[in-house]
Amino acid sequence: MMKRRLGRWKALLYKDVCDLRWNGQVLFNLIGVIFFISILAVVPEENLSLSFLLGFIFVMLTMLMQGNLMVEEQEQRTIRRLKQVGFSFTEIFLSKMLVTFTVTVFVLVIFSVLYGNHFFFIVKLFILVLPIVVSMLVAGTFLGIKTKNTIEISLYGTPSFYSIFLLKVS
Amino acid sequence: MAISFNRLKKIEKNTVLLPELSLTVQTGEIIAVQCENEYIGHLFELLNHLHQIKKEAMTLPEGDFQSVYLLQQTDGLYKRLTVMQMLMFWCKLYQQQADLEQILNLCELQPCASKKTKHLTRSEQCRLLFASTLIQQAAVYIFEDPSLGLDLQSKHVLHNLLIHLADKGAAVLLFTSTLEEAIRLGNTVYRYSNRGTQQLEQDIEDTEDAVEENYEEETTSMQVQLDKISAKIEDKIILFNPLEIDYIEAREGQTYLFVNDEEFASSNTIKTLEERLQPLGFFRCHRSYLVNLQRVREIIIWSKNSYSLSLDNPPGSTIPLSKGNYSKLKELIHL
Repeated sequence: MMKRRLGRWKALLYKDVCDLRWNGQVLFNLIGVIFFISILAVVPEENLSLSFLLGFIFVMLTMLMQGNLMVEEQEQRTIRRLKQVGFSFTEIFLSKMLVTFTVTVFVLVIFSVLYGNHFFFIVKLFILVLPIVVSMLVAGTFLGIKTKNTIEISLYGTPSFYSIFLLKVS
Repeated sequence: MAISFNRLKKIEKNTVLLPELSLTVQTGEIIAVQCENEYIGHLFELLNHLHQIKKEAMTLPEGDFQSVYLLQQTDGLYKRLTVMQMLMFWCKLYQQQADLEQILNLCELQPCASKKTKHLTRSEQCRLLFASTLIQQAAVYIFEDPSLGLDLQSKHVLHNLLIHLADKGAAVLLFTSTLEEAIRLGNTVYRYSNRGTQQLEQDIEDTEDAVEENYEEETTSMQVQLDKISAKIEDKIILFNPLEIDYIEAREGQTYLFVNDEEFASSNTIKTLEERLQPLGFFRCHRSYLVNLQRVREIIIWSKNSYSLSLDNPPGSTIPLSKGNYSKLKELIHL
């Protein structure tokens, strides 16, 4: 039974990884975030704090990606089949969270390398940002459930990004 | 018995959303049910929310609903995955080791194996969805109007697929809104209406035809006569030139004339109309259908026992041709 369940989870991850390689919206956000933090690493801006950069990553990437992955399952009308196979709604969004979390960690690793911080700083950073990452994943999931398509994700998700930006400017 | 509906119904406030459905499907059977789209929608909604169904209203096969496969019109595909990736995903999802080459071959999807599903035509997408039925090993397959909007190639694939599933020992149940499709796809055909389920007596036609053989021989030599066929719309009576009529269908005790994509109810029985119209080139191709042979463009042979007539009227209708009448038609057109 456990083996069967694990096999199904692998199927979901296989599908998400295949899909992610051509998901323009997510790739645009991912490349955009990496480009932005790389530029700021090369041209340091003294007024920009670490919290702003991390907030930028979590909203632009983590929240919007999670929202997009969630809503696409509804938009593409593929969720019925997953439910019929025996997946619960919780399992579906947990599998999406796993993918989004992995991509976020990948970007955080790039962030740490770019900003040249020592190992313990990186570990501390990861522990400190973990609750924020989780809350962004939950926010993204909520956004994915409440919206109908990827356009609405951008429509409701972008104000979150601007509020972070405005908070920093003010 | 694979699956059984025991007086399944849904009533909401004062409206009967789903009339009483009583039906049993045995393993290896292909049962086609013709009913209104609205009923199909409500039935599949119920099947997706099993908790709304009373336990005694439905008998499921062993393994419960996990061994029932539903294929719905609203089912989608992951648009960025290729056909091959979709098949591999289903193999992993259903934990099956399937011969993907054979599946691609059966569903005629080899040319688009590496195409993303969003670049497939509607018919190719449907064929890909059909392919998923070959991967999941279910005891019962329930289809929602599977031939809706399909091209001829995909209809062939669907037909072969249903036979393949039945041969494997699965029970196949399909719901469609058109009688023609129900007759073509199912071994046993039922009509499902507000009066419940009624089996369409397909076998009777052969015996009936045998009795009528002598009569037919007599009438072929009849003199051509001009005759108008009447149909009623509200309080008006319209008279049609028989040659205007594309085909005639008998449905639920009523006869309908099909003229240029429009449907008119006639007060005559199909039997009477057959007698009157046979000298004018009409042919009883099925127990429920009388066709104007001048409109027939193509005889489609689905399998040894399944035929259809494709007409050259504006909607390009296809109507069933029964096995017994196929040989008669061949004689008639000197084939």
